[in-house]
Amino acid sequence: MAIEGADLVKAAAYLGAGISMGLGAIGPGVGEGMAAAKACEAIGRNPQEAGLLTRTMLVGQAVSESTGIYSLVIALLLLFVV
Amino acid sequence: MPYDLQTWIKVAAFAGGGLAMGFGAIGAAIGEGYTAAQANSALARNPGSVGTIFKSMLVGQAIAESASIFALVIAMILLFSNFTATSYVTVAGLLGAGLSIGFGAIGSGVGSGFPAGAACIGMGRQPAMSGRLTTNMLIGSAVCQTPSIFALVTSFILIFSDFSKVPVNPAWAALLGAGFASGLGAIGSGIGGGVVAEASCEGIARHPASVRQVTNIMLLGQAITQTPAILGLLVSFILIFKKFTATDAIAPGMALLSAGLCMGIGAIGPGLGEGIASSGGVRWIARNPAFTGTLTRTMLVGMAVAESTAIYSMVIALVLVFVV
Amino acid sequence: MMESVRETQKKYCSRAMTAAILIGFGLILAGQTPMGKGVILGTLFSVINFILIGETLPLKLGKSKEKTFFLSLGSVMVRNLLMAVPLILALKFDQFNLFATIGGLFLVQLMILADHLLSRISQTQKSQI
Repeated sequence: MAIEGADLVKAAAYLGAGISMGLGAIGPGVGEGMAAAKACEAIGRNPQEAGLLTRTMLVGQAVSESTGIYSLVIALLLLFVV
Repeated sequence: MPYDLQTWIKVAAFAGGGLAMGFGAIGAAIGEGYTAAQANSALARNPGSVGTIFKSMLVGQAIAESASIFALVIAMILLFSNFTATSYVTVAGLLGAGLSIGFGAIGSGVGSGFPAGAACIGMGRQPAMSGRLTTNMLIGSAVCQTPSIFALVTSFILIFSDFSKVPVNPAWAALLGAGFASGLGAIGSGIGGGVVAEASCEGIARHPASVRQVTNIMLLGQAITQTPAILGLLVSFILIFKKFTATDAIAPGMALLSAGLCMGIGAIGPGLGEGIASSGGVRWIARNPAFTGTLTRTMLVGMAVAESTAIYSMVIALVLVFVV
Repeated sequence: MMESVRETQKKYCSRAMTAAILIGFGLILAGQTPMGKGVILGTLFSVINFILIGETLPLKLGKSKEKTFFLSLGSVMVRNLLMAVPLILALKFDQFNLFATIGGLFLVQLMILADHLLSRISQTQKSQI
């Protein structure tokens, strides 16, 4: 089996894409969970403001989602552009 | 010195068996150690409740250990069977089986220690609730075992399938990737399910009147927390059963291994995060049962958003398998 | 303080053994001798494991966190070695069916879960009436 340079580069790019998306999903997943747990706590203490608190939770989760989307973009770049 | 196929198969079987047994035992030991530490502090508070606490620790530990017994079963099959194989793919299959159940047993072992510990603390506080608490804890830790059952299924398929007709080059990576996908994918869901059950045991001990809502919402939260592990199982089934064309290049194999790793690692975070989100919901439903509907809605929305990163990982894994 | 532990052990162990013997004899009568023997063998070791869990519980109390972890690891290892025996027997000898033995190893756990689930269902039915 002859190993060529282009083949090696492709293999490394595929491995990198997988690891990038995999590791990149850990942080946002845990962080969004924490945001939701705190939102439930706040609603439990103050149920009248449930609508406002849910909206705030979604904004916070959207921001912490951004790092997950960066990983997705990098993974897609590694797959299709490199 | 050249090694022949039989030697490699023995090496893979021993390595896989060792991995499965070691990781399985460590996960169960962490869970049991945590339970015992919580029981200590409950007994310091209320030494009179020692009988009920021991009783619930006994049954709790018997259920919590199922994951490590699954790992033991696979380890014994790997160590003591005679594998006669004609292809190097079997080497990867046996190693993948060990990886799958080894990693898969960690999460369930650690996770089912949480509800048992919370139940001990709760019995110290409310000895009158010990029956309901034990039932709730047992249901919670039984659901915690499901990710390790998924890993067990993958391991059995990897051990007992016939891979003699499969092309060696991309298939070895696919089988290792399948082991990683369902093994690593089970860690987050196992621990996350435990976090939910812990919150529900604590909540029942604080507010015994809310027991019905709390157990129901706990089951809902735990069921959704299992979804990242199910996605991992799905990707590993695709990797095991897809037909591949033989090739000389490294890149196709790496893409399949990477798909497994991506799905496996990517499922840890969402599994854990959904567990944390659901534990917040369950904890505050126990304190404020009148607003169960509002709290459940917010909890479900939060969990759905936390799930999204697991879905990104699955998309990348599917692209790696089917597109590139 | 050990009475409640003994009582629980006696309850679940006798139920599991009875179920295993009934299932085992049923299978042997149906002509599936290896399966019946496997179920009984697995359940026997499952029961021994359950008794050992109860005996090691008091050892873990009143110790530091690290010590508790290592004690738990030791007890898990010892019990795993014990439960490896029926699996090795089933793998090496054709008299015992492997999958029946694996099923037998989980019979005590199944009895515990069934007991608690049934009591939960009957409780919810009572509260609805």
